[in-house]
Amino acid sequence: MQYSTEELMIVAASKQLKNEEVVFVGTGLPMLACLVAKATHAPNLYMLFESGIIDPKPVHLPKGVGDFKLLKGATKSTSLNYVLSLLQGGFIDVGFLGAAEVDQYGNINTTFIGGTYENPKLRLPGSGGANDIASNAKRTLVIMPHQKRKFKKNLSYLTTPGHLQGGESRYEAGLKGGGPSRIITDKAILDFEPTSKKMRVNALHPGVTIEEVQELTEFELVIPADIPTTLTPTDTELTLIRNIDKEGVYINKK
Amino acid sequence: MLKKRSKVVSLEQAISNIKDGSSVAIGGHTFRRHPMALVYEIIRQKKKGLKLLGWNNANDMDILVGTGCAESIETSYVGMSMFGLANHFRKAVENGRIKVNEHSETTAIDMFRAGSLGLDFMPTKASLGSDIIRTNPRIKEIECPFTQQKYAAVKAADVDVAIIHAHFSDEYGNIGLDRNRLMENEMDALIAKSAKKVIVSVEQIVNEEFVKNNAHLTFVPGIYVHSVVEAPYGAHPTACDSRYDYDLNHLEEYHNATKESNSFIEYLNKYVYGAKDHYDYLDKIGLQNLKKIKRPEVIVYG
Amino acid sequence: MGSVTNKFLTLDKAVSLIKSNSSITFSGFAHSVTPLAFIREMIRQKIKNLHLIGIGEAWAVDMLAGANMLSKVSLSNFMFEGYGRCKNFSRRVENGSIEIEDFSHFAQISRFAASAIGVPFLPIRSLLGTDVESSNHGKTSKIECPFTNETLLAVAAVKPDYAVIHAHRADRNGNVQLFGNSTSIDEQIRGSKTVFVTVEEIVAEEEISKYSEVNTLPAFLVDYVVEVPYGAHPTGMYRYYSEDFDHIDYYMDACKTEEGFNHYLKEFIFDLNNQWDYLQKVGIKKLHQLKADPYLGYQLGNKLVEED
Repeated sequence: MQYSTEELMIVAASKQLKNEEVVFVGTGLPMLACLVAKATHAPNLYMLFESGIIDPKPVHLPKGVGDFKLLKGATKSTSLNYVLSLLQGGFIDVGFLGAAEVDQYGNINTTFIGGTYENPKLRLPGSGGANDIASNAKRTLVIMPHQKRKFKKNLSYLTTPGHLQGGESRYEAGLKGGGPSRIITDKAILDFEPTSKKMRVNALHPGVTIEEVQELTEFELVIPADIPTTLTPTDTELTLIRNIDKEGVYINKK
Repeated sequence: MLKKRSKVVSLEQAISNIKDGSSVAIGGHTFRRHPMALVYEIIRQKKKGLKLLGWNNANDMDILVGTGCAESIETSYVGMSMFGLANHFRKAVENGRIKVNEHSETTAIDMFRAGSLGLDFMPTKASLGSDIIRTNPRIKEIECPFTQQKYAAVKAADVDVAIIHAHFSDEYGNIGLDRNRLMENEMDALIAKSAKKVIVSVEQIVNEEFVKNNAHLTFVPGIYVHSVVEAPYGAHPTACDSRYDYDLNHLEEYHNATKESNSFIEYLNKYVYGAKDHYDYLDKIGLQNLKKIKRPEVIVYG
Repeated sequence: MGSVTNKFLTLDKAVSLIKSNSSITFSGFAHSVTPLAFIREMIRQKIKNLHLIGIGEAWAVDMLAGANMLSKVSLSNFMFEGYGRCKNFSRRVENGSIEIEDFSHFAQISRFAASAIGVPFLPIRSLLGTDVESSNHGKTSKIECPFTNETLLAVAAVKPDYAVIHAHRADRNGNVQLFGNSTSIDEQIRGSKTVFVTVEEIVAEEEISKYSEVNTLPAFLVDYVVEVPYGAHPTGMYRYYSEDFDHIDYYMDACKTEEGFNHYLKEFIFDLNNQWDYLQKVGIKKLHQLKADPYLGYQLGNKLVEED
């Protein structure tokens, strides 16, 4: 079956989730990844959302974490404070993040681009739960497009901690969570070199070259000798995705 | 796989199914749960020669008489309760313009009860010895074959179309009433089941799962229903159980308008002919007035 | 806390109690539970120079910023779910007319929580190592745990002068009930000085106590209650009505420019006298189309089937 890049990314992300893990998730591709995981290898995956919704069973595809559709079948409908307390309490295995800008240590900026904090050229939304998730989840996954203006050498502002300055700097800063584990883009899957914590190429999507990926990245990527190709989605996985997102809200059907 | 057929239609379409000269049974009792949105549309579509049946009626029948839609009436009561007599009804009867068959509430309900059970008549003690049984060709005295006791036999109502208003329905015509309801509401089910065609207006069309999860609230199953119209405040100005109270101001406005033909025409032009559909009518009543009759603090039956 | 007899106000009277130059927080999450009728009346009454303290109440910040009523904003994240940045808010931060300080969600909610439990700060683990640590005028401070010596971040308690919440229903004593997730409301009301709650409807006492496990704000935490049907429109209220996306699309379009937003303000606020006028403009048909399905808790859309 033909598949779109979004579908490839969703399946790649779903494979990062293990059964019975507790996942702090936003809507969009991360939620689709969780639903696919739940329907395949991780039926007991627990999803919870910053809006205070825990373990929902939506009958219609929600368009956001605050969408009422997400309340259907929820085991618990509680508050923002409750779910974020679970995060800091160490109960969350995986957190999903989005990014406006990311650097080579997986640090993320969603506060402003250009100018200064007091006088920004472009003010962005702000941290939201991102900093909390990145600080405390046992590991985080990022899904974002691979563009040079997003993969920056120097962030205008460090909103959300990745591996900070690399090495042991996360631990030294007092952060308990493990930091970013994978970054899944429309070109490749990235991970982090274990000692230096610099961003490294983990897999290339079918048909994508390493030169292309480096060209789209402002900083130097760690490139291993052997780079596997991202697995193609199976027919089952694709049917599942298309069943959940019937109207193609998140996936672009090619 | 085939999808089940939805019975949800527009107000206009639902009423277009009523032919001139049909017998139309109207649900509700005095100032409660008459299908006024459906009634106003009957007037808009200028239906004629209708034979109206009910068991206790008020402004619903009065306005149909006043606009010349009705040819005959068969019910126990047509009046405006605390406001007085139903002016159009009384004038039409006094002028011989419409025919009336008298009933008590029991005999009126029994004609529908018989119809709902597929019987030709229903035996009752009500109306014996009164002028009702003497003047109503639908009621005859009979003798019980077992005890030789005298009974009144009420002939089943011959209903072409029943129009009723209820609380909710799924799109397949399974009509439900809230748990908070009045026992009299059940009479509407008898009316519906005695009719050849049933048109129902409801406060809200709901998801199928809600009806399934609350099957005990269904009071007219979809097999009886021809079409369903979503009409919030569709009983206005009559009351609708715990959904909203009577709009006494509007009922008084109607009653005063019926005193003279000029004022009545003004009333019709504003609320019936001047409103292109039900929501237009509601806009004319105004959200503030609709909110005034919705009183969840006070209206809690049961 | 206000006594029971003085608790229930009309909307314009309630809004008139909000003074300029004060600090304020609002309920709101994505496109739901935002007290927009109250906010529109605040705009009408031209209250000025407010310090808004928020977690993620995009609608409150964007409308008040656009109407030039905010001088300072303390925030975690302001974004219109499904649409993008808050244009009015962003414009005023970029042109320097609004002073800001940044936190994360948990940092901000912990500041309310600290006030709620009467302590001057709470220790958390977020923000360490990032620029957010230094973007809030010293309201966060690295500390060393007196017991374990580990590094934690102390976030200073915040106690806004006013909290304005929209909820589903209340009884005559002022016990307020919310359905669905409670977002940040619990901490916001316990961590603020004066609490205003606008509700869709007033119900009998027994109705509230029937559902004591649902999120109820007990009356002693609430100062003023105003009955405002559709008080969150165009945002939605779970189980009551869905978001009015037609209106929201129109708003987002208007916000592309300042002129566009000013036109929106004129059309939906200044040219109208009150919430009833506003609702009459929205139209009863539209309001009914938004009415939640009792099974779903929200509304999908058109129930009429097209005739063949």
